[in-house]
Amino acid sequence: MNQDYDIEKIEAFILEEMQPDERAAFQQEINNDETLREEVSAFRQILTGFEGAKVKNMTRQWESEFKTNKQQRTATVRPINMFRRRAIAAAVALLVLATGWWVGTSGVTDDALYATHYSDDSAYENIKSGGEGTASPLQQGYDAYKNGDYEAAIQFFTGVAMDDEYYNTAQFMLGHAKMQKGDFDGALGHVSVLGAGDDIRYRDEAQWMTVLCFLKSGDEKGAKATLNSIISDDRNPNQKRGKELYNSLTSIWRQVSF
Amino acid sequence: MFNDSEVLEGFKHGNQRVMHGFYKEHREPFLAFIQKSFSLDPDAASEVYGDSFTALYLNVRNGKLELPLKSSLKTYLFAIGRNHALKKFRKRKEVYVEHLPEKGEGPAVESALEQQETIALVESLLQKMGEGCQKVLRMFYIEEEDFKSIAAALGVDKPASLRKKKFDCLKKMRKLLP
Repeated sequence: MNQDYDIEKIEAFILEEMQPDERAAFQQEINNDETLREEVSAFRQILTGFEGAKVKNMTRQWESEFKTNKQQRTATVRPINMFRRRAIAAAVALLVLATGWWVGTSGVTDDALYATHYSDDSAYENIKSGGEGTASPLQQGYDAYKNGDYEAAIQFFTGVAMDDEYYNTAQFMLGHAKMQKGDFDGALGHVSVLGAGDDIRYRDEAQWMTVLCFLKSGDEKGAKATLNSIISDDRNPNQKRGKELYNSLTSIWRQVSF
Repeated sequence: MFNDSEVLEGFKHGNQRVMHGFYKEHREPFLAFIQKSFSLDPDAASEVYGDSFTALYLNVRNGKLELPLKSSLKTYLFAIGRNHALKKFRKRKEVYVEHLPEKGEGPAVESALEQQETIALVESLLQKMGEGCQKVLRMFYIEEEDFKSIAAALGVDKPASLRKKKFDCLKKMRKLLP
């Protein structure tokens, strides 16, 4: 092995972290130098091994979580015959109680909070500023969204490439379209990235949408964590309604509603 | 959940939410398919799933699977799993053949065992290295820690010095490669 080869350059090439012109020049070097070619191949093998080991670790962790969740579910539904009669009586009593409290608690369920706090006005603002009635490059997607054909909108906006200047706009619209379809996990993939990003056109609203997606996905912990971040940010325009939503999430009515 | 082009994009950039979503979405049907086809117990089936998912991911990362796809990613995943189980459990008789994805999907579905061998090779090379290099490489590449966290864990004052150490360790590892 030739020790003079620049390993940082080789790694950047393999991980596709080079600028296009630099990459092309290095590719030319590789084509002309058999030893360099062997080095790149060897380091590619090592880096592939690391990447694989990383993903394998992740899958082990996910498996362990799946198994733990399954055990918890099984434990929850396991019948205890000796207490069955009392359990049924308690359940009936709880049902009566729950019915009585329904009025108080119905306003703080995930669905109710979502209905109160979600609006797609920002999608329509986007459509307007994007050139409603003019020839915007995203017009086809906007039209589909306005017509309620969210599947077509999703298909259109998904086709906007990462290097396209409208990519973030498309991601934002994808978030709205998937939320409208009820695919909150899918929407999270778009809005959580925008919410953590530096595109100030979408950051704050995407962060707010992230909270609501977490809520509808059943991840209250994620919703609260994102809300904390909104509440602690004095410049965030959603700070006030963030506090209101946080209070609803921690209210006594919500505690007794589950 | 995510469509195939979103998953491809997510895999290319190591987006863990996309990866987890795809893993979760196909886990149950995959486990049912592989257990039924090869009479595997749940743990063995889970292992095949983990290996197959990893292989699919690496195939995308290494550019072996790109748009336009000949089949859906789910088909690739199941085909990888089938081939992997066939090689891993050669002695077992395949008992269920209905709905099996077609063979011959190209190199992308042939390489799960090879990917596992590459991972095992790198793990074995790590074991042969000094403790310092092992920790730096493992934390950086496998646990995805940044240099600041690695420095804190190793009690190193200057995180920047770890960058050079990482490359020195990689070079040492390269020398060990057969």
